[in-house]
Amino acid sequence: MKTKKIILLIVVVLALLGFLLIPVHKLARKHVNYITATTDHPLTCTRCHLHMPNKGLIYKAVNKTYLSPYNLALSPDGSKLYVVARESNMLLVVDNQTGRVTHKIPVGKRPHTVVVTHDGKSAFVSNQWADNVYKIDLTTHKVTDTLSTGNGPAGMVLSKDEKTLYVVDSYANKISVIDLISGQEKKRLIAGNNPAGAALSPDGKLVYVTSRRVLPHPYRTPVSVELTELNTVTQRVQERKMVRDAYIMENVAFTPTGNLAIVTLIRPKNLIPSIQVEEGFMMTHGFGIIEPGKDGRVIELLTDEPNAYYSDPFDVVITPDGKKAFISSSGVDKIQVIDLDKVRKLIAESTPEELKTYANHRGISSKYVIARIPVGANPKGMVISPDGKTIYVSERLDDKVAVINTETLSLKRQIDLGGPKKITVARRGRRIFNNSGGTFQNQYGCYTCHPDANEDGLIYNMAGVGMGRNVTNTMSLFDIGKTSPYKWNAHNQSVYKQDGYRFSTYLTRTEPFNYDDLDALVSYIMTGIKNPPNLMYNPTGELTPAQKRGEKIFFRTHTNYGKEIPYNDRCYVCHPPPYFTDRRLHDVGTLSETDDSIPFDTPDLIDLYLGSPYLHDGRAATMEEIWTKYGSEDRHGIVGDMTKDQLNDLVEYLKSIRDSRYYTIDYSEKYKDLLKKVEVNHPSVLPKQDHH
Amino acid sequence: MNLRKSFHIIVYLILFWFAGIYLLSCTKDPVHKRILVTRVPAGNLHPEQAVPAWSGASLVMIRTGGNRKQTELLTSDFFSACSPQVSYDATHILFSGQKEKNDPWQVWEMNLKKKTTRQVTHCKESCYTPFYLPGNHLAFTRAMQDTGTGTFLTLFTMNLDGTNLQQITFHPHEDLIATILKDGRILIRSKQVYPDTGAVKYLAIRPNGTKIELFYSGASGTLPGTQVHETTDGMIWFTERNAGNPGKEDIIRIRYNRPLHSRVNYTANIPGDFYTVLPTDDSTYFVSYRKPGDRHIGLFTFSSPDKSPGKALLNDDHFHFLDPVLLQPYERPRNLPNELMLSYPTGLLMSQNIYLTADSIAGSIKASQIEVLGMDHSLGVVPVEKDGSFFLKIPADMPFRIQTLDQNRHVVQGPSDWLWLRPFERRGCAGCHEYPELSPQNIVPLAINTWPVIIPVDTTKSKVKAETFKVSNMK
Repeated sequence: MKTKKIILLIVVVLALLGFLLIPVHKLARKHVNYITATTDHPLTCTRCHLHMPNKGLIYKAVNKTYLSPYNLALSPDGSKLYVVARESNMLLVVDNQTGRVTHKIPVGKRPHTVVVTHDGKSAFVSNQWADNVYKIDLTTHKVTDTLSTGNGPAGMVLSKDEKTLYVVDSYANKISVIDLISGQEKKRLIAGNNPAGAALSPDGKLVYVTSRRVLPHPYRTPVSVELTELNTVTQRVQERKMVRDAYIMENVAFTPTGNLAIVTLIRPKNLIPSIQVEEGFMMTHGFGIIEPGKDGRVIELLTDEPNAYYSDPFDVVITPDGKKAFISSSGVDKIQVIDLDKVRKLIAESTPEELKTYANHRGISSKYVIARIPVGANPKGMVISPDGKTIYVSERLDDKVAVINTETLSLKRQIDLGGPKKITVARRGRRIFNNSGGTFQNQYGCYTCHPDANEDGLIYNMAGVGMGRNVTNTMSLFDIGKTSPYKWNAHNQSVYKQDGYRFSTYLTRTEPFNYDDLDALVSYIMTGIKNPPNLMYNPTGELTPAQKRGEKIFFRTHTNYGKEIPYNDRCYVCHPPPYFTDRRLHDVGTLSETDDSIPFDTPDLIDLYLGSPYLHDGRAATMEEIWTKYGSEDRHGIVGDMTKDQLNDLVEYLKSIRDSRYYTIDYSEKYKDLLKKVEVNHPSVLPKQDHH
Repeated sequence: MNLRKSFHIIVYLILFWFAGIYLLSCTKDPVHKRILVTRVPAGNLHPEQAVPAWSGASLVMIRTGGNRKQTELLTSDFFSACSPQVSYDATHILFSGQKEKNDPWQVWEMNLKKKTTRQVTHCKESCYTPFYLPGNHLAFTRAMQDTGTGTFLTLFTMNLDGTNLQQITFHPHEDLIATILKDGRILIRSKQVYPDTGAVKYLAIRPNGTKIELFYSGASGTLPGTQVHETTDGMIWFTERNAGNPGKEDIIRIRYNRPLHSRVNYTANIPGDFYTVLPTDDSTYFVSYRKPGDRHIGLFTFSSPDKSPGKALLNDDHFHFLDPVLLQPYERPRNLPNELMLSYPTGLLMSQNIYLTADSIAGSIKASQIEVLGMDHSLGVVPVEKDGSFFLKIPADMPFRIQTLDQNRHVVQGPSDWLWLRPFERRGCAGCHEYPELSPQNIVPLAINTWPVIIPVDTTKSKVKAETFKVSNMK
């Protein structure tokens, strides 16, 4: 009798569990299918919910802070290596003999570059997210001075007499000239768009500054990027060299004689319909050969091959004899070795027309690329030893430094910098993001169009159905976790869908990511990409008078003439804080005949100042153009009543908008009455369409 | 005493355990250590026969390691069997076979453990050279019925269960699958047969029949072989008949990264003929080789450093031994996505600049229009834009060629090789007959600012172009 009762109890419990579990399972399956836009993604809650939070206890428990070595420098005698650990905000001092990290010097936010004085006693570290440069005493390993710079200090060079430091202000598009005796910034020169690296000519008379984003140009015309030539005697820009059909020119190095400089670059194909990857239809990668001086030529050559691409070239170093250049191809984990004598010979024997053709020739690289040395994940900055026999390469996503023999052209050893040994899911996703292995023939990676996880400033012809249609402005990936849906047409409710099967069908054109890799990639995108602090337009949280006036316009409900603005035509209704998007679809009169879809997803407005051009197809070169050239019909908000000054104020305010983690304005309190009526889509539903 | 006894028992147990592992590893069928080879009766091999379908041939498995050389006949119940291809996990093989002498060749699959076979294709015509594709698919060549323009060999894909049969090549060629590249594309040994006979080339194509492009073309008159192997170091190996020395066949190696300009003849100075080469990742090569003066082809090892044929593994006056394949698991090629919409009636073709040609980088500026040629008639003449671009909408799965014309409709260049577009395929070319290693210039081709010209051109209309649409509503 007792046994029967027990059996009955078990049956009842199992039945109850069955009742509960079957619907729960069904609901979970439905939920996962919706988020991933598939029907067979593994039904494991932890795959998402453990690795997607971007703050809080779970985030801290699951994720790690890695070192992510970026740029590096050697002591004059070569005994010490100074490595910028970009993620952990440190300068690492490495004993070159033992390969051990002897000191970890805390520096500012997101350090970028380190330079060492000739006597080896001091170093300067640029802190890209702190708008300053630290001077460090290398004997005491202490920060001894803080030098103010423009916004986003990145590459640096010391003048030959070491009295001046030239700092590239990457977000401000300037070059800060800092007098090291007074510690003051003497002047700020205009550089190219998003300048990055800098190099001093061997005679000390020139500084070359590279830039990554393309220069302003007529809509849908060929692009070019600026190499800024600065005279160190006059401390003025003496030439702006146009490097045509190229962008993401990261770094530059001079040959020992100074008669040539080599820059890394990418030659994009954004104006051609993205209908195939074959034949280099999306991206090609290479380097530029720069002849200094007013009439000096700029010649571009590829390092790619017909069926193999070497994506995302980053740094370049040249041996002291001027015979070899080494390029870190960060998207394919290789160091490419260029025979510069062969390059010189090719240039000497070729007509200008032939050289122009070679810029698109994927076979010509066999004439001068003499080796491709495999290294660890995501090679970035490099430094060459004074005797030219060794090159040190930071392996950013391995937390190591590769040591390469320049004679045998082989990897000698790796220096482990002591980062976390556990590779988290997000870290693995970051490796996938930065590697081109997920694209047919390695032609490009996520990073290529989203450098530093931002956007590359180009508009692409995505060729959804036809060709010449659906011209699309690349969007930033900074902190996009809370701003779903994705794509301008809002077709993707999640990053899972964004990077899923369609992504491989129309973009990478190779096998889709498997679910482990896709989980990792999504985890990185959702958790690992932070908005920069916008120190340029909003350094303290206190708005300028113009920005305050602009804020009032942004939240206004009546026109200058006292007429009430229709609810849906108010800025804050479609762009409510904290993310400045309602995640809904709107038609604001920007549709062109080349667009297949009618309404567009409302973009967020955070760090807009980094993101020109504007609108879904990038037709507005500036924010002003959104309402002057392309929005004069008052369909994208009511602006017809505004004065020019008011529009300027509005733009100033828009430029000041930064991530909520840096806020001092409590919008939810300040505009409580206005914002409580605003409808913001929940991330788990696809947006409804509102027509103005 | 008990302790000592226990110790001995443990030692014996450990010894037995190791012995058991050793014996098991010896007796377990080491399928992955074996080679499959096609054995052809000596009188049945015709040098001019491109299709590897030799009457009376059979599949033989041999062990290459150890002291005892064993051969096993796998297809005793087939009249003919050729072209074995191993599944990624090495548990099955595909092959083409004839049950009876007059049967059409069909694709069969064999379970290597059970030695059971099943027929995969059921075509009226013969089917040859099957290859596994990722995702439980296969590709094979099928002989097409003569519809008045000759007999073509055409590629098809289907599911391994025999469903979803799809034609993927549509040009008047003889196409034979040479290998599946690691990048997921099919490498085809292809020869134009209509209207003229063309050179034999290797073409690469996606498994859905899109983006066909030239992969390798030897010197004039050379004949690359039907069996190609890609190794993990990025090299591609095959044999090629030398044009200048009829009958002489050599081992050729090219690089995947730059196949058109990396040819190395490995055996130019070695007497005798190499019919097939099988490289392995441990630098061992197996070759089908005929010694000078011999009438039969044996299976030999090949020494890479010495570049000489080594030990004969199979050498018999009565048989040729061809097309060796390694029976071991290997990495699956990439499973390429498919953008096609099979219900779509057309595809789109954009050429960026017809003035960019292989003959002259600057190109000929005489041409001002193109003519699209079908199998036996013109499909229309289309003017090109000022920048040399054109943009066409062409019925899907229809072979066509393009030639450039001057103002007076005289042919400037062409016609091109045969092309086709799959349903919803969007295809681009940098130029006409362009140098295959050139990438397009980064400019918007003027032609894509208009709707595509529909092919065949409607000759009843005076204008062939649709109205230009606005790139944006710029004001």
